[in-house]
Amino acid sequence: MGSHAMFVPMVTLRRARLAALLVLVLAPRAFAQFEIVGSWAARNTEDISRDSYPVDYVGLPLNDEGRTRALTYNESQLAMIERQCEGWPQFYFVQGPFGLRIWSDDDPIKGQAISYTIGAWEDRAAMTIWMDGRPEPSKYAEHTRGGFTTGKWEGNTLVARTTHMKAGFLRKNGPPSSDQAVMTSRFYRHADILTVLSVIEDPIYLAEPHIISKSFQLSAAPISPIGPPCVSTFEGRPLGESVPHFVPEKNPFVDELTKMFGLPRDVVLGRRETLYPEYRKTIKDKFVPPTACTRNCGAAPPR
Amino acid sequence: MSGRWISPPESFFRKLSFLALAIALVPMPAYSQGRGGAAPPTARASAPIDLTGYWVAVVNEDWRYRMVTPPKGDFRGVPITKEALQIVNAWDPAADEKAGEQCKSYGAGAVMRLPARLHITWQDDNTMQVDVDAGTQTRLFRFAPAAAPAGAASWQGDSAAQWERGGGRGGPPAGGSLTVVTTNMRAGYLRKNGVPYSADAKVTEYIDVSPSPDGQMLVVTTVVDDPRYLLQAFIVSSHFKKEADGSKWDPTPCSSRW
Amino acid sequence: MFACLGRVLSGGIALASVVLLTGGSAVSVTAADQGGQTGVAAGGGLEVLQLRPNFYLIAGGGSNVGVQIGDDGVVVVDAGSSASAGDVLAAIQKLSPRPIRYIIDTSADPDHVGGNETLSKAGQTLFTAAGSFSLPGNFLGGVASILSAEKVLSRMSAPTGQASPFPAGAWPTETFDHARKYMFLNGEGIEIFHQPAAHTDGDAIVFFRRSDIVVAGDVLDMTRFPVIDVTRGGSIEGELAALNRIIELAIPSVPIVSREAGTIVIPGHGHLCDQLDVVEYRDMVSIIRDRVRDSRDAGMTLEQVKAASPARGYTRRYGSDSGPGSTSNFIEAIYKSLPKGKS
Repeated sequence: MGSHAMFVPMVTLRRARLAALLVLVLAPRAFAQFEIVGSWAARNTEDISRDSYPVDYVGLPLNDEGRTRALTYNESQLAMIERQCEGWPQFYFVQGPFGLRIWSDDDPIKGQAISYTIGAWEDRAAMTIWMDGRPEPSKYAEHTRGGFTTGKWEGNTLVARTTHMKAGFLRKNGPPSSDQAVMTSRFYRHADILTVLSVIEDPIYLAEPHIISKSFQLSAAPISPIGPPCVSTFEGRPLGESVPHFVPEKNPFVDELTKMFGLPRDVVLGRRETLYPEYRKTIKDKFVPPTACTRNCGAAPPR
Repeated sequence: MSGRWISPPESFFRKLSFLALAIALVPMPAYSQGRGGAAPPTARASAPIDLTGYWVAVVNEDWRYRMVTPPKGDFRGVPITKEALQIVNAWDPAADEKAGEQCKSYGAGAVMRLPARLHITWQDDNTMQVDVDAGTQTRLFRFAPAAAPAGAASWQGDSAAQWERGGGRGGPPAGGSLTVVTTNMRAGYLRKNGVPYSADAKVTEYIDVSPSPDGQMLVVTTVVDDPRYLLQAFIVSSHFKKEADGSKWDPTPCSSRW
Repeated sequence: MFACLGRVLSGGIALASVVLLTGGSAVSVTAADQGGQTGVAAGGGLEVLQLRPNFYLIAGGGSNVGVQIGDDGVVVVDAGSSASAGDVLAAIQKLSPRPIRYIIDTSADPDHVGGNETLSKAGQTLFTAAGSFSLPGNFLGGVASILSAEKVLSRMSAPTGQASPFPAGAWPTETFDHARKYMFLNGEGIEIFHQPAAHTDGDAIVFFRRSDIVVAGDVLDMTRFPVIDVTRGGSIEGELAALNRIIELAIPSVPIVSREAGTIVIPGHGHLCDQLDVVEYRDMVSIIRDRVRDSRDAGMTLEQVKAASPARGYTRRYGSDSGPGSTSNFIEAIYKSLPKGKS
């Protein structure tokens, strides 16, 4: 025994080892994070003007190919039994009217999240954000509604990148998204507000990235993690019949928004230059607003 | 009492364990009071993110409520009260012009939602200046200890700002954002067609910046609380792209019609 | 519970294992749900993806190659190109020590049958014992059987006195000329459907019933417009019928859509699909067919139809300027194979 040896009670020794263990366990936890788990209600006070008019590509930076595809679309396709349950790509968790239910799957030793999952709905798959650095699937892998998402913390921002999404729609009235689209979503939390900024890049159908942002509010009322099932049924269009579509140059609804709201056709058809303030100068002398709102003006207040 | 004789390496380990635990458990903010009474760093010096520069709104959402004047009576999406509905239905842009109130839709409750460019600079070390070309508006975000001088309500009100930091314990900040609370505003419009907010409104904004495919993006989450005209908080998030310079800066006067 | 749900719901089909192929030795690693089908690099730039516990995709060797393994041996759908045959064989041999029993060809395209001979010779026919049918032991020398629609043999061989485009060892050893052939191997039924006059006149679609996988061949090609070889009996109506047949065979993930389960469809080229992907592809073909037909019925010549860009809206995703799958060739094939007379 060395001359500087000392007697340490077992209880002290155990506490010391526990302390060291605590340091090892706690230290790697990234503190540049916020709690994202919970139920987040959608207040639906923004992005409420993208109605279900057949031709409404307002705010979308479509390229010519995307515009042509959009104008080809006929909503009667939803009567096809094979399309009734097609659902949305993952953009819909930001675009849609529903809230988010988010939970984590944690490493039982380190306590860090292996993944966060944004629960599904009837027409949208769950989105699992893998935080463990796993690689993207093969380029030959199946593209799913949910896609494949990896995430990381950048300071106090959760950044999620989604690939391998199925071809689908940016909006239900026809503007398409391809199976090569990639979405990068940033989650910011401030107090009880969760703001999501999603940037959609699609080399096939977009002239520039499409950006959508939405805020959700923490809710004490739980939001369902999964929506109702979808049951398809025969609606009069047997398999093998021609697919309903329009000749793009002859879409009968192309002037509907112009007549209702005075919007120029370029705006209705989703051209990138219409998204920037300087566009206002080009239409200032031509825009004739409707005199008054006649429908869908807002819900009558209860008090 | 049971125990063990340990030689110095184990003792050293024991001391290190408790020291490590103490470090782990005791909060150590990154920018605590300086030692020996040094002045705390200024808001500009301690900024965890850089908001300065020119930013252009990208109007992907709510286009016909922002880029053009929506029709009278359209308040869709805004949770207004009955009292506010009366104002909506009585909107008269000519009357606003006559009363010199054509800037009513450019106030702090709505200015960040306009199709506009922002130019963000530092007026001084504790005051951030945000110029908006639409309506030639200027907002001042004051960080403590700076405070707005006592005065009448204005379109932009008085804005108290503070940084939110995303740092870890004992380490340098890792990102952050800006929180701004604005009060003392004149009654204004959330939308150009007369959807109102009152002088009792409070605007809370959270401003974040992030990389984007072609540069940087700014996101402003705006929460308007108004006990008089809103049934619940009106929350919108507006995004901007950074521009290289002010070559597209285009100051235009307020307009109650366009 | 929700943690488990999160794992199951993410990324599509749940995987059972990832096979690592390094330096000639195989190491099998079983992992939980990977949240997406990760490919494993193999020699020659190939990728191996496990789709089901006993079913794999080998991609990058010309065409997509489907591989079913089990105690009965290995069943391969399409053999890839001749240039990749060695690497495809090596990849298969790392998946199972059992011999290849069958190679099923979905068409006579070189990038689908080029590896026939290599795989066949490395395999072993099921007919190994002299039997009551007066067949000698090791029928045809013991090689694995090559099965196809009869027209494939016609295309691959040649009349007496002429040179065939393929060596005899690559020719199908079993053919069928009726609508449906079937067998039961490795614990599941395997149906081979002849799809007449589609991509060619010799197309087959193979359905593995328990694995719930459809191997579609080139009637479905995620990299381009379908190649409709009119000179070899292909037609637009047959192509659409083939796509509709696949849609009928495949079952989507209903009523629990968010589960992302359902039938896997392996196209001739490109990424894996499910029923909805085939619907998307079918709709594209159908809409372009309609445009071409309407223009033809309006009296336009082929050149006039091409100038009208009937594939607009789809060319960025599927079109090309050259090759058999070019946009121009696709439009021409539709125009020439449309039924005569106004629709």
